[in-house]
Amino acid sequence: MSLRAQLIANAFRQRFADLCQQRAVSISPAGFGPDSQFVAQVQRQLLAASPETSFPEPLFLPPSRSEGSPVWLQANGSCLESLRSLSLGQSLQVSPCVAPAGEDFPATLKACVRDAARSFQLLCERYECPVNLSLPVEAGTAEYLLERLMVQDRVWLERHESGGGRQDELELLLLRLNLVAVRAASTPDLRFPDALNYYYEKLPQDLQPAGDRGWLLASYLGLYARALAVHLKQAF
Amino acid sequence: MRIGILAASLPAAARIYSELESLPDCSFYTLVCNPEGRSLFHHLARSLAQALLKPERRRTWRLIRRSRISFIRKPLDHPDSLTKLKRLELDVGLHNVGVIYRDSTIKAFRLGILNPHIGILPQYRGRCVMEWAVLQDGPIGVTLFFIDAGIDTGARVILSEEVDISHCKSVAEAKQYLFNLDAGFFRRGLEQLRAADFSYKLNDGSGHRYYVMSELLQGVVEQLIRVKK
Repeated sequence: MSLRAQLIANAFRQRFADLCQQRAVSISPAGFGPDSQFVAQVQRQLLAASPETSFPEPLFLPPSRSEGSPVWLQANGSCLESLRSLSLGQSLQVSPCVAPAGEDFPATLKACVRDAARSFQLLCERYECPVNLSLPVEAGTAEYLLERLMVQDRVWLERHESGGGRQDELELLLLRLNLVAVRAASTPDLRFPDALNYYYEKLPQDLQPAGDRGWLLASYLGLYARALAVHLKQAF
Repeated sequence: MRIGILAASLPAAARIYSELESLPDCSFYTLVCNPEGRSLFHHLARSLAQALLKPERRRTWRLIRRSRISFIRKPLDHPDSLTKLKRLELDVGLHNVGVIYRDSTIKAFRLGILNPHIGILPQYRGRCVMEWAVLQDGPIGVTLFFIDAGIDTGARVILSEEVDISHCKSVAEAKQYLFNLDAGFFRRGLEQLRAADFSYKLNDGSGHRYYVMSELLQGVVEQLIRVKK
């Protein structure tokens, strides 16, 4: 392993340890209301995690993407249900399906950029099976989500560090983080896991989103650990 | 050639000017911009104080004596600022101020505004590009190009050169070293632009856009720079 790769691996290992030992302890499942059980599950998994043995399964089970050209997949359950499963280290049961009609999805997202609820809905609809974001044909959307997180959402977070931001905007930010985390676990492009690194450093440790989908914060942490473990195993 | 140096202060403009003043057939205009939106009084007072008190004041006074100075108090895309810029009939702007230019400002310069970006284009667009290049063992250097309204997407590249930073002991030192090459790149770029056989290289936007790097990976880059020294 080159010195460069070793240094990156050391950094990711250190972050994994911090996430699973320090940050996981600070999660308060009771603060997530009806989703406290799920959040507690994420917490338990993180506290018991190790990069070598945790997340042994791939993100999804057959059909394999290495056989033939990538296909659009559907999973049993909604986007949010799938994100929960993936963040708990589970694999999705998937089957091939018809891809959405050819459209410029980033342009569709840009057109409703000021409508957080609509943007949230569009992302959940398109990525009902979140692993589809790792398809080469979805690279444009992946880049768009990365840009939103690392430019506009960064500014939003700085402005609302002490609170006062709208819940729907925070939930949209967390959904973007979750989706980018799914992508990060399936690409050697370090810009994606580094977005997760960045938000881990910037999101307040005591953040407890008040909305119905505040649990997306916990699933982001679970998916972040998964992405780190994948990079540590050099699965590319 | 009429050249406008866009800077936030007189000393910053003077540093550029001192490298360029011997260029033949060029007249220089210093455009002192006000990115922080200070009042005119504050803007002028600050400029005067810098001219009097900064260690490089001899260079600054030379700029004041030899170049035409304009204080641009309002944002560069404000109609008043655009009128001022257009009246000067400038051929080229030299970017040395922390703003993002809108199309209307860029078009106020006949050829455009030159930016000495501290990354090799098209591979490294955006933020922290030196750090990302170090992390990926990619080429490190400076690209002088005419900007457009996008993020490092301007198609017309004049110069793109790799730079050795192995003597630098830290990320901050390496970045400052690259930033300080701007005046030299401006000079060589303007010379090239006027050469009979000059042609632009193309920035085809094929690279990735990079963003602010996490503290975690910045730590890795610091270690890599120290090891390379």
